[in-house]
Amino acid sequence: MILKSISINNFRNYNTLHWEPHSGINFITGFNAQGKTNLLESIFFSGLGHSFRKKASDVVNWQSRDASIKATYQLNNIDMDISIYINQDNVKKLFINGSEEKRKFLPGHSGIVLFKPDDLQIINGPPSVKRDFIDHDIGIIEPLYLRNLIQYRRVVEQRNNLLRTGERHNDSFQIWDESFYQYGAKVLAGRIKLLKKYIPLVRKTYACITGGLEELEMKYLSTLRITDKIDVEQIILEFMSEGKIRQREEVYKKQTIFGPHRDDIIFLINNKDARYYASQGQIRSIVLALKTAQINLFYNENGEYPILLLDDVLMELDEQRQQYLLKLISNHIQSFITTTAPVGKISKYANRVYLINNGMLREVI
Amino acid sequence: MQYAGAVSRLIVELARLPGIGTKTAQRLAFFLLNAPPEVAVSLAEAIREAREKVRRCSVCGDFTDVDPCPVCSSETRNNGVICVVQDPRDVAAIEKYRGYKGVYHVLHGVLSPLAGVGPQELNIKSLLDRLSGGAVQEVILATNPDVEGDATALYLARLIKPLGIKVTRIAHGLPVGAHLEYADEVTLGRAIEGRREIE
Ligand SMILES: Nc1ncnc2c1ncn2[C@@H]1O[C@H](COP(=O)(O)OP(=O)(O)OP(=O)(O)O)[C@@H](O)[C@H]1O
Ligand SMILES: [Mg+2]
Ligand SMILES: [Zn+2]
Repeated sequence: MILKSISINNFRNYNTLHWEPHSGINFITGFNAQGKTNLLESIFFSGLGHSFRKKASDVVNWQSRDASIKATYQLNNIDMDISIYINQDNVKKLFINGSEEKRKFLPGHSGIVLFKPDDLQIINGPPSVKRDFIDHDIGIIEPLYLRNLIQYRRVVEQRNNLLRTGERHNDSFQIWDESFYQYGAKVLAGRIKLLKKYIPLVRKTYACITGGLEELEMKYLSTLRITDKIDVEQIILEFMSEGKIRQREEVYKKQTIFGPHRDDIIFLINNKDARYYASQGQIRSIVLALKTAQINLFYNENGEYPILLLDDVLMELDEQRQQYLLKLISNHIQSFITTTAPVGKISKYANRVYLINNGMLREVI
Repeated sequence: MQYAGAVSRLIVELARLPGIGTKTAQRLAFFLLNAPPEVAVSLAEAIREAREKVRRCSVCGDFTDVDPCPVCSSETRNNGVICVVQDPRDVAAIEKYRGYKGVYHVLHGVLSPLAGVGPQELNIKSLLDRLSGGAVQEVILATNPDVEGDATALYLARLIKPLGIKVTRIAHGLPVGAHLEYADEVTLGRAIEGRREIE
């Protein structure tokens, strides 16, 4: 996928901007608080219909009532025109090639990979951040998985409510148990399937990034006893036996204490848990491997590379890792890389370098 | 904003309706107050009349102004097949399709602990009474294909199967090869044709 052009109006600290970026590597430089992240945010918004920061209406310029983004993407050699209108009541209207559409038809789903500083949380943050990454960023390639996940969450909510009100004896509880087992098994099996596709890509990339010196493992820690060969029916049986074992504890704690909504993922470098032993640079490298593998996964699924957005994360890598990434993306992947540092040595990889000053964009190379 | 007693009472009452927020309630209230008096009076009367005359059918639970309802008292309907739905709107949706010749049973809701709805809150006891007569061969469970609808169907299947009656679930599942986006467009009527027996 390629972003051919983008026009933004009253979006954050931009009044109007029309931009036709290069189809290769675009460096976006500038001092702090000039609008670099905002520009990436507008690209992300045009591709997915929401921000990677908080509320949609926050993106409307403080002096204005509404904002708009228009973008033209090229996908499988076909142009796709996107227009999005956002107002202060958080209402969005979204058009694709002139007709109003739902968000899920935007091209950014599995077409945009974003790497921002707080993604380091995927390695050393709470389990929920890890699950969200797998569920949303990777799960996006399986619409059915996402659907099961939504239903599973609903079942857990219903079941928790019965546990909270102490109605485990209620004669319908058995039904909520069964629904919980069934949806839980589907979600768990779906996750295992996703990870089977994804983990080998991550491990391979990590080995490349470290020149083969370090070995990365990514392990799924389930609250159920499972192996990667297990099928849905077998998982349901696991759920049933775990349900029996945990019954008293659940009644006491008044909530659903096992299932995919409680699972965790850990990363090991040369068999050492990255949360406790990895250096800052190693953690960044793992995230780099996760994101690179995500690019490859999307390519395998769609036959086309996604766009890459890197917000303040390239210059924080050491020179060898920077080179690895830049070599990998040059010639294939349209990238938008923000940095406050002078581009200096790596400018040879840049197809364009821009400078942003107070919401104005200027081409410098 | 504060309005005088009668106006504010009208707004409060309108805002009780599902899907109507305070803003919409205000709009409706001022529409009614600005329109000729007949408009409001005839609306009020329609509401009163419907509420007085319409009750639940003593057999199936559907809303009706004659008891039993036209479907339950019809001679041409097959009383051996009962289609269980969650609310009266579903009866209307299936009737539109005309292909269905059996009768209905309206639950008036689905199991949902979050909404405080358990089996006792649903119109289930009268369903079991109907089934005990021995004349029913099949029960079609046509609750919505969401988490609560599925759980309710499962609950009913567990109750009914032991009676030796065939229990089927309408085919809301994705047709093979169909795209997810179109799944919602399968009409209830057509889904009945593709129903499957519950194991
Ligand atoms: N809705 C808005 N309207 C106007 N200005 C806004 C709005 N939201 C944020 N800003 C401003 O936009 C400015 C630029 O923000 P941005 O995050 O893009 O900076 P940046 O160039 O990425 O800086 P850094 O290098 O520190 O990451 C901030 O100073 C912020 O106050
Ligand atoms: Mg920034
Ligand atoms: Zn009736």
